[in-house]
Formats: sequence, structure tokens, C-alpha cells
Amino acid sequence: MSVRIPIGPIHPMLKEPINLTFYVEGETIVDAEPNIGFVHRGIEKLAENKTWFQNLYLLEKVCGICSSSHQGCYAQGAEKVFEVEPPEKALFIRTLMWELERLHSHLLWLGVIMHEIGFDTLFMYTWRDREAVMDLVEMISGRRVGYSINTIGGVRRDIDYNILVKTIDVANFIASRAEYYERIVLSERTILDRTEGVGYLSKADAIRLNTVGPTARASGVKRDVRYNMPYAIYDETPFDIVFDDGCDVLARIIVRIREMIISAEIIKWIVFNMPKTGEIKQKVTPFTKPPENEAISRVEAPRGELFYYLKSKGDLKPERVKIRTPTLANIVSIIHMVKGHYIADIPPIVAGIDPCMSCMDRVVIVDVNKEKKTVWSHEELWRYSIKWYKKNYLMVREERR
Amino acid sequence: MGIKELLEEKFGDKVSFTVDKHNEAWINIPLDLLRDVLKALREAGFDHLSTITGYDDGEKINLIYHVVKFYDGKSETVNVITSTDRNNSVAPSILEIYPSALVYEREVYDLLGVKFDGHVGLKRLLLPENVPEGYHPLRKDFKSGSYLVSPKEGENE
Repeated sequence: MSVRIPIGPIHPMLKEPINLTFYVEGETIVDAEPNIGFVHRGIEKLAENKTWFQNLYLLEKVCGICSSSHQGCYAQGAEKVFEVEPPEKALFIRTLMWELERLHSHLLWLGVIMHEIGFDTLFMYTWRDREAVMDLVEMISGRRVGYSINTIGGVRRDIDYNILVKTIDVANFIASRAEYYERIVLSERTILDRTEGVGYLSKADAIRLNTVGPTARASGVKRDVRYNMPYAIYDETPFDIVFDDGCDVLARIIVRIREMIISAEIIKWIVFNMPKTGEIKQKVTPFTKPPENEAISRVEAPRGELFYYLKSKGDLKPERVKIRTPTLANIVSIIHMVKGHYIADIPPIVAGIDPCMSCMDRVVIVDVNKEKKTVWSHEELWRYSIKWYKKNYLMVREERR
Repeated sequence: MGIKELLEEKFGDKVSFTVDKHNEAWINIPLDLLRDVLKALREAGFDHLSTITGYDDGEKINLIYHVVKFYDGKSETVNVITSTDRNNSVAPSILEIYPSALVYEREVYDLLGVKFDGHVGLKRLLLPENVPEGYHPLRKDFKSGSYLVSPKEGENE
């Protein structure tokens, strides 16, 4: 007798909100079924009706957290379509924003996953540290989210020397905090109990299901768009690809924390090597018509490989803009991660791939035999999972041994 | 052996192969060869399907399969282009070759109305369930706004 538990569907932050239906036997999950599209906004259709330049500001609204990745990826693809080469300094500034975005996205995620397992102290710590990065991006671009710094052919703003000095401070601060978090996560028994061995995704499955980003790298898959298909200035930037063979939620936490340290190093390298003078953009006006062309563009967004396909028919408006966000690529892997785990493990596993957490906001428990519905809010599921683990942690510890 | 020679040896002149200046390969193939070509690519190590792009150019529905091969610190991308009829849009499903096509094929079916032959449980992915059949917003003759379904009485409360 299996019981159906639908979770979802509100998920307003990303393009793809999810509703997950879990089939459980007792406390154990036997199957899962993702269902997405609850706040589909039709951005791809809308993009066909706007000009190439208007789309810059439309597409950064696809996601609030990785807005610069979306805009930068689109600008990079549009540059291939327009056949222009952005100046080197523009690429440095663009990459700096991408890496700062990765820092604040990973810090936000770290807070969310710690909240999911009931470790709210670390949630407060990470979100406080995140403010240092947010203040910095506000200083650079004027905004905390949606920086609008990219344009076709370069970037829109130069960075002041004083802000670059400040950037080094922030990078050093975040790197030292990340080292501290790594020490805490690896030594704190409460965290290990809830994450070690939870959400197992083997390396073979990760490759077979085409998972991307930190989720894949935590399963030992050595794939990173920055490393395998260098774009912007990543072919000259010295950095190590972070991966872990743990295959569980703990490995996903460790990979993201270590990635923050690497990102901080990249940021320092960018600041030290940024050209002092030079153009920041090529002259492409909003009335420039691109040639008939098509291009694909990829960047490593904080959540993984972000993919754009752009096609032009020589008009002011694009013929087709196709977006594939990293969460869509990772959704199928949730089905494999949750199998054999407890209901109480759902929050850390679903949070583990870094989707938006409001998708967890409403849980309906349906008993198939009795046709009876009980509606759980995310708050209740969260309380239930913490209470369940308080009662059963010794049993779980014994089982995993 | 490069991927170009491999495909030319297997499929002869049915596939046309071009490499653009960003070092990406674009292959044009007829629809009935789709499964064979992708299987050959999968066996050659192209194990990552980035996505399936579908677009309507007014005469036919084009499908582009972006597959990637990763090898120590480098990668190779191949974009396989094929097209299907606009009125009777059917394409073979590649679910058994790339399991991740599960969501991508549903997305293309939802937005462009291409039916994938062999896909288990092909249904809408992004649009709501109550959108009538035959509404596929990314088709060029689709007018934005025409899909507004007026809610039934009492549904909007």
C-alpha cells in the first residue's frame, strides 16, 4: 500500500516552479513524480516580440538570484549573432559580476539548507555574510538584484578603483568565512546526521541523467562549463574544478562551500589582472540589425550549466530565444535521489539541488485507500521532519552505519 | 577518428556537416535518421544532452538536439538539426538514448505541438492542464492573448 504525497506547486522565483508527488510506504519513499510550470510567464514568446536590446532587461528577470548569469549568457550569445567581439576589460567586469553572483547565491543556498535541517544559527550567519557581497554589488551596479551591467558588445559601467580595493576585502572575508563553515559542517554531529548518506545519486546516474552544476560535481562528475568550455576570460583564469565523491547532500554542501573559496580566488585574480584602461563596450546601437545567424551560448550559473539558443533572421527582433535553466536539467535527478529515503529527508534533498524553496510551500497528504486529504504547509513538514529526527536519530545513525 | 568521418561513414551523404567559427558542429539530418544518428553519437561518447530546441520557421517545425562530449578539461558540441511537418508534427522519441529528454520532449510538445512517438506519458509541461488541445504558443501563427481561457464561475474566488 503506497500513499501519495503531492508537494508544491508555488515557486515564483525561477522560470520552472515544481510540484512533486511522492509515493510512500510507511515512512519510506518509493517513487516521485515532478510536475512543473505553475508560474510560466511566457518569456520565450515575449522575447520574440521585443528587440535584441529590450531583451537584455527582460531576460535578467528570468531569475532573481542569477540575473547576471542570464543577462550575460544572452549578451554573449547575441555577440556571436551580431559578430562583435567585446573588449577585454568588459569581459573582466562581466566575469567579476558572475563570480560575485556565485558567492551570494551559494551563501543564500547554504542558509536555506541549514534552515531545512533546523540549524538556524548557521542560516543567520550565512545570510549576514551574504550582505557583504550584496552591498558590494550595489556599490558596483546600483542595485542589489538585477544589475543590468551587460549589454551587447560589452558592459554598461566601469568599476571605480576604490570599489576594486573593497572587492579584495570582501573576497578575503568570504573565503575566511567559507573555511569556517567547512570546518563546522564537517565536525557538527547535528548536520552530519541529517545530510550524510541522504539523497544518494551515484556518478553513473548523474551522468546518465545529465545533471549539471554542483549537483553533478558532488557526485564526482568533473564537469564545469567554466573548465570544459571556457568562455569570457576563463581560459586564462587559473582555478581548480571542485568535485567530491560523496554523492549525498553533505557532498553538495561541501562542493558549494569550496566553490566559494575558489570563486573568491578568481575574484582576486580578476581584480589584480584587470586592464587599467581601455574601452568597456563595442559600439552596437539599438538600431543595428544583426546578420542572419544562429548561436548557442553557455555559462556556468551558480546552479549549473545555463544554456541559450539564439536565432536571428536579420531583423531588429530575434526569431527564437531558447532558455534551458539548470534547475530543469536537475529536476529528473530528484526522482532518483529520494527513493528509499524517509519523508523527513524530503526538505534537504529537494533543497540540495538548489531550487527555489517556495516550491515546498504546501504539502497535501492523500491516503489512496481512504480518499482522505490532509493539507500540510511547508512549515508543518519542516516541524515534522525535525521532530521525527529528534525521536529517531539513533535508529537512523545505526541504519546508516 | 573525428565525428565527421564517423557519421559520413555510417550515413553517407544523407547528413550535411558544417563547423562554425566558434568551433561548434551543426549537422542537418532527415527525421527518420534521428534515432540512429543520436545513438551513434551517444556511443561515440556524447553523453550529455543540453536540451532540445524547437522552433517554428513558418513552414516547418525545426528540432535541434544539442549534445556534448566531455573529456579531460575540454568538450565538443554537436547540434543535430532536423525538421518535422507543421500540420502533422511527429518526431521519434529519444527517451531510451537520453533519459533526460523526458522533460525536454514534454516542453517541445507543450509549446510547439510536436508529438514524440514512443514517449511515455507525453503531456503538457509548462502550460496549465485546462488549456485546450491545439494551443501551442511558440508557433508563429499563434496570437498572444488568444489563449486566455475565461475561468468558470466560482473558479476565480
